[in-house]
Amino acid sequence: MTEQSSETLDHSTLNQLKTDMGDDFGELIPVFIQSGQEILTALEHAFNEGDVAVFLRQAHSLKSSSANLGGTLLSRQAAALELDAKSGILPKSDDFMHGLRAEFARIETELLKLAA
Amino acid sequence: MNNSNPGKALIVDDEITNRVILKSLLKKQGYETIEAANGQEAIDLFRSGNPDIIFMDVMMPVVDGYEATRQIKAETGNRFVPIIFLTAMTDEESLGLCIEAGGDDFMVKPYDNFILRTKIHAMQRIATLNQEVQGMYSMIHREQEIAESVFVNAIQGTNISNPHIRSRIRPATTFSGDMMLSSYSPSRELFFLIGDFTGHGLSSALGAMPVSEVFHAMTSKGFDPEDILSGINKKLKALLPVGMFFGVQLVVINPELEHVRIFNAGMPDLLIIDGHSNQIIHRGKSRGLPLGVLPEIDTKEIGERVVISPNDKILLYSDGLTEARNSEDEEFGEARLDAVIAKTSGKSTFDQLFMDLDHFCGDMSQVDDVTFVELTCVREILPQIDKEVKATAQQLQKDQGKWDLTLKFDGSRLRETNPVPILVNQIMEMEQIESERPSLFTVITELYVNALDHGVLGLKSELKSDPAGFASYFQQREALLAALDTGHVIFSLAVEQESAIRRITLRVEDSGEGFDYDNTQLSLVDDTQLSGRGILLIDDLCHSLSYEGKGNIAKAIFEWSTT
Repeated sequence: MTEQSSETLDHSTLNQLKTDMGDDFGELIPVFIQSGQEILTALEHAFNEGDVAVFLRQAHSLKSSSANLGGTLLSRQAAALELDAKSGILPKSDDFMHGLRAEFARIETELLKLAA
Repeated sequence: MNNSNPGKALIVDDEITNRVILKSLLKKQGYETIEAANGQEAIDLFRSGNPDIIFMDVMMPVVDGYEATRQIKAETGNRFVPIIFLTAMTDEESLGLCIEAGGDDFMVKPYDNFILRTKIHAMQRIATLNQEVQGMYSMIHREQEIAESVFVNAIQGTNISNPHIRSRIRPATTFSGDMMLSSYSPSRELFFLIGDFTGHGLSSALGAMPVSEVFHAMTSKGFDPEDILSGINKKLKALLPVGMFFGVQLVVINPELEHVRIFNAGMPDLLIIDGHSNQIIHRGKSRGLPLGVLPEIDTKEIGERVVISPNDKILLYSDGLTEARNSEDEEFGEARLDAVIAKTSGKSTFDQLFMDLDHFCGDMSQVDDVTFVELTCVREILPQIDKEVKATAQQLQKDQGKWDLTLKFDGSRLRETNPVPILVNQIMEMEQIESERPSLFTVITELYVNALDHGVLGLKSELKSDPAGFASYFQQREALLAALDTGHVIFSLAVEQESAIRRITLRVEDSGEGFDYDNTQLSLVDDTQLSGRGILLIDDLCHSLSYEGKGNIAKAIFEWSTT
């Protein structure tokens, strides 16, 4: 398996956003953090309920929003979940949540450092 | 809306960070933004917020981007509201679906500000173009409305309304290339014309106005139908571009209801139907090219004279009727028309024809203008002489003094010219008594025809007593007239004032033998010496009628009050 980039945040993406959005960039970080937390909660809930449709949509949203903020690894993780869910397959156990939450926490930390 | 204030943008995405980013980018372009989180919210906000541009995500709960786009585009009407799809999917199939759903463009995530600006710019150009087109549509529509009302006034407004004339034109589009004109001549004949310009629509209908003007000007002045058709032909030859022409049918119904003159140039058969048996007694086929093609037309070739009796019907129609098609691409055709005529024996064919035509064509849209006319040859289709009008007509008359006039027409001139309209117009110019034109015209025509037929050409009116003799009479007349180069007719008139009375004394002299008028009795029963009932009519219209010389000079005195 090829080594994926372990860089938590793709700074070139973030810098481009900063340039394009200007002042509004500051608003984006808290929005992402709150939204991300809501998605993770909903994702876990859907897994517990065995609800493939909701799981799929949440995975898609997570993929999308984390990619926006340059969180490439998290985005790839979400993409993998989305792909399986499209075929109706949910993860075997809730282990996947640990990986997601851990990566999300790392992103959160780095973003807050930037915002400060 | 302009570049500094491009308007309102609707952002549709279920994912919040997407909305935040795009909102920021659009705000920097000057847009005011509104946001929706799913397709249904998008539709609602479109209706309430009236955005100028929409950015639409594809995958959304409730209603997805494709469906929302379909519904919104169905409601934009004439406005151009661009919808740009936001997609992470770049496969061709997905993009194809975007466009099929009504999307105008797509944008790939993550958003590139430069690309966003460029796409917006392109959409604005299309919006401007759309506005120009809408503006032109409105202008064209307005102009058409104006033109249509001018047409209606100029053409339809001048036609005769009479219960024995049943007529209808059904245009294929707003403007009809078919037209219909009707008028009474000063000698109380009914002139009825239908025509079909090449093609249909506005460019075809433009020729209608000059035709109408020529027709009405000339019929009111009493010109012969041959002259009128020549006049129309000249006008159209000058006016119409090559390839455009005017098929025409003209019917002139004689006030005695003994015969009709028919002319057909480039139209379907004109039908004359016996009033009792309902048989088609005559098919007036096209006998010449349509008008507007040749610089001169041979009106003698185009015209026919057909004997009729009261209650006979005349049917005129354009080829839009017989060539109307149904869903099986069959034509309505002459056979079906004949069938309608046969089954409406004794009653009006008009209503049944349209019912059958509508039934035949069903839902098929109409391709060409359809015209159909049914004339019933009864007394009531012609104008009655209203003597009351004469007595009460108010004329602005002062003593305009005396004048007199002599016109001599030699045989060779008589061959080519009908002198009556010329003489009547001259009197009208001098005396300004338009209300007297019909009576004066009738009197002078009758005296002239007598002078020409019996005096100069030597025809005997007894010949006209039966249909075979009638046809023979007119054949002889045409032959003699065509060869005429001797003889003459002289009109001499004197106009004077006597207290409150204005008087025209008119003498019509012919070069013929005359007749023994002293010993000829004018009676209701036996008037074979003088052409039919015509002389009695003049007697009614003139103050007095007498004969001089050998009987080859008719003298009519015509008076009207100047108070």
